[in-house]
Parts: sequence; C-alpha cells; structure tokens
Amino acid sequence: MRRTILKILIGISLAVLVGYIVVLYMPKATVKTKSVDVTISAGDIYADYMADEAAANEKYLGKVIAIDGLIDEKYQDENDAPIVILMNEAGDIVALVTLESSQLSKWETYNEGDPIKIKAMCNGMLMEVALSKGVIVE
Amino acid sequence: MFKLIKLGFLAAVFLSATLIPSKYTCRTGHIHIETSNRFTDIVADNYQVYSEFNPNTGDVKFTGLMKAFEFKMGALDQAFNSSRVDLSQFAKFNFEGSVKNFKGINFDKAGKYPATVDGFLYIGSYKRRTKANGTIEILPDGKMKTTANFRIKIEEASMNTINKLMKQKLPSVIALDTEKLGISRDIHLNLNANYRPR
Repeated sequence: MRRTILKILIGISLAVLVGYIVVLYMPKATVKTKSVDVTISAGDIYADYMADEAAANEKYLGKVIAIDGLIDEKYQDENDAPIVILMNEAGDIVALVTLESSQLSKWETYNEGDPIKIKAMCNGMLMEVALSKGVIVE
Repeated sequence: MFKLIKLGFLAAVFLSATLIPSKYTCRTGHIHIETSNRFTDIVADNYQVYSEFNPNTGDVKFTGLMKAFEFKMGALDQAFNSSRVDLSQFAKFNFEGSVKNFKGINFDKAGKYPATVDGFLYIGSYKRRTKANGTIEILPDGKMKTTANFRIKIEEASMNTINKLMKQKLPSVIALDTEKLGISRDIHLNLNANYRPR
C-alpha cells in the first residue's frame, strides 16, 4: 500500500516538474504554424482602420493577416528585427511590419519600391496599421 | 551701419530658429517592462511604440499597442497572443507629457543631457500621473536618442478590480487572487527611442 502511494506521489511530482519545464521553455508565439485569417492589401486594411478604428479592431486585432503592398522603407529596429514600411499605390505610408529575425536574409533581398507579401499578426493602428511576427510569403 | 547690424542680428535669430526642427518622431521605440509574482519575474518588450517630441515646447507623447508586447516567457507570450485574450477595449496605451528642462537642451549641438518627464499615462479609461527621469542625446547627424525610466505602483483600488475580474473569469474552484499569486504592485518601465528630425 505504502509503495503504491509512494509511486503515485513520485508520478505526480514528475508530471508537475515536466509541466513546469514545458511552460518555462515553451517557444514564443509565431504565425508560421498558424493559418491565415484574412488576406488583404495594405491599402485596404489602412482604409478600414481610418474609416472606423473600433470596428477594424474587432475584425483584425490579433488575427493572422496576409498583407501585400509596396516597400517604402526598410530598416532594423532596436532589437535588430527587420522592419518593412509599406505604402499603397498612391505612395501613402499605410503599414508597419516587424518581421521575425529568422526572415533577415530573405528581407535583405528586397529593395525599396519592391512589392512584397507578408503573413503577420495585426496589433492595431498607430500612425499606420502595425503588424508583427511577420514572415515573408513572396 | 546700425540698420545692417540689426538686420544681421534678425537673420541670425531667424536662422537659429529654423535650424531646430519643428518636431522629432520615432516609429519603432522600445518599451521594456519588468514586474514579478510569487513564482517568476515577468518581462515583456514592445518594439512598436510611436513617439513625438516638440523641441520648441518640450511636449512629448508616445503611443503603443497592447498586442505588440512580447513576453520573455514563451507560455505567457503564447497565451497573450491567443484569440482568447480580447484586448479590443484596451488596444492602445498613451503617454502625454512634457520634458520639464527642455530649455536647457541645445538641439543644434551634439551632446547628452539629463531630462525630467512629467505627464499622464492612459490605458483605456485608466489615467495616471507619471514621472520619469532619463537622458536626451543629440547625435552629430541631428538625430535624437532618448531613455526614460518610469516606476509605476498599481493602486489598491486597481488590484481590487483585477481580483474582481479574476473571480468573474476563472472557475470558482480556482480561488486565486493577486495576493495568493504574489503579484507585485511595482512595475518598472523603461523607454528607449531613436528620433528623426521632421
């Protein structure tokens, strides 16, 4: 009887320990494994946010977006993550996308003015629509 | 002769006024937050903070998005970025204030200056007067680099609101509150931003 209780206690302790280690070392959220919720152009999502920010948040906030546009500017932020500023056909700045650091070599092959399609998570509206955790689709 | 000196003086005043940009802006400022509970430290970063600084008035503001926070602990980051966490009512946070000693800063010349910031932090309907100490560095290329350290203490009333929310959202068998979790009321917030003149 004692042995059985001991075995159960050891089993529970091991399960708790494994659970704790899993939680501690779980990878961060990524869009790589997530399916796209909305496919839209950078100009159109910006227009939606400009028309009604609260309604656009209901529609896009926290969702995985496949977004396309023209590159206005590219640089690296304080975390050395690649940044892409997107413009619409009229040349207005409409979106800011922070890419995953794993995208750096792919990002370097793009130039300002190039079209780009990115899968990223929508964070809402700053001066333009802000997305992060981006991965380049094409 | 006197007229010439007067004209020269006026031209110099005009030129010095036009050399200072009307504002500095930053698209990808960085906020680093640290707090703790009984089990672990909670560390999060946000690299999508928009900020504006007016060197003529000292006014400074920054705006960030809650969903742009990345938690150091993967499990927390995954939970925060899941669709179960609805932040549509608290999508943004804002700070509006001013650099109190901006008149002592020479924006034409490269150098590093201490700065005191005072203003209000807004998260949804929550408004809190907040002060910070930091530095403003004018770089040789005319850009500006700033750091500011804020210490925020969550008020007792706000902890009660969190406890109420936990009671509402968690199953009744999990009788947890902020005290049992040992959630600290102290939050350390550090802001770094690289501004460009506009």
